[in-house]
Amino acid sequence: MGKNVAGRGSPLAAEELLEIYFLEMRSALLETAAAFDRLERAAGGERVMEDPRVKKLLAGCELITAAGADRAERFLLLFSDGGQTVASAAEE
Amino acid sequence: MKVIEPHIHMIARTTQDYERMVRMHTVACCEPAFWAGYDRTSPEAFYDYFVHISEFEPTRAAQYLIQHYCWVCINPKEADDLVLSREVISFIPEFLAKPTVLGLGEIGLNLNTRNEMTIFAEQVELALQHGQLIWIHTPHLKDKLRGTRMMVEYLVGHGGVDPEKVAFDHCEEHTLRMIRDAGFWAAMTIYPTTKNSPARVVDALEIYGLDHLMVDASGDWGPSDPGTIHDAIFEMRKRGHPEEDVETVFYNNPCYFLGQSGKFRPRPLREREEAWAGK
Repeated sequence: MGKNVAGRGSPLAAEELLEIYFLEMRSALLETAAAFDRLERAAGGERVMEDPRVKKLLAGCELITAAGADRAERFLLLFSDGGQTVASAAEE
Repeated sequence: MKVIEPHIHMIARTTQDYERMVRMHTVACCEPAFWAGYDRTSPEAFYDYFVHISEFEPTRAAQYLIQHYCWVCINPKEADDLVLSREVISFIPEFLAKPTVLGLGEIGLNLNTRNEMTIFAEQVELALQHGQLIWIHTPHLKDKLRGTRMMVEYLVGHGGVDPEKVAFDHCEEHTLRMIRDAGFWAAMTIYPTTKNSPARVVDALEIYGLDHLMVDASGDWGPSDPGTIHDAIFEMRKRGHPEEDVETVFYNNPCYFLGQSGKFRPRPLREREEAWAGK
């Protein structure tokens, strides 16, 4: 049984999960790398690499290389508007 | 194994999807009221829509031995128009009395505006007045975190809302914890590109356990597929989870939540405490 925060964790060991997901993970990263190449090759490529959305994607790439088993959550937080209370929303 | 689809917009799907669903052992599906892809031009358009999902769609589903249930409401996107919203809300009680209407849904937020929040609160009050379940749409992409937090804080602060009778849908890694910590049900939508994948849904089940969680495919007029709920079933089996746990997520859990309405007929196969404890 793997790491279990509050649930039951994975019935499979990490090595077994790697067997299942290695090619999928490789493919997802390769597609992302190729998409960055596509942007950079195209007319205006240098400029688009300064686009805030691209910078955020690059920050996301850095994030997934950092340790910690909450990368997906941190990735989504990176792409979220800040949290806000009902009271402060009413002030808008 | 029998499967329940807790959230799907069959009005946007072909009959072939009902055929595929019954072949994949789907016994019941639930259709929340949603945005049609364009703004409706009058309250009457909503009235006709509610007739469609509460009368015609159950008939269409029954040909494939699938029980069809629905939710009615003014959806979050069109809720920004206060006048239109209140006209629609005025005839919702008529539909709440129908035999396949489970409650108010999918109410919620879209761009987290003040008007959307006002209509969200008014529809929560309507649900409480009529003793109805609530199905909540959480916003998309960058707006999801903030909008989810606004609704959770509102409902917790309200004081009169039983969290057992409320489900938040389209939950992801960054919103699941706050919803579950407040005692609400959380549903995860498998939807290409913008929501969850089958693998991430099973990750969440492994992290949080089985209790108060549901999974849906959310087939609608966008790029989506009712078959993805079955992809998640395969994903859970592939990772070695016991068959009873798979059945709890995809059949028993919707029964536990939706069965509170009294109109929902499928019955769970196990007591929920036993199912959630994994005994």
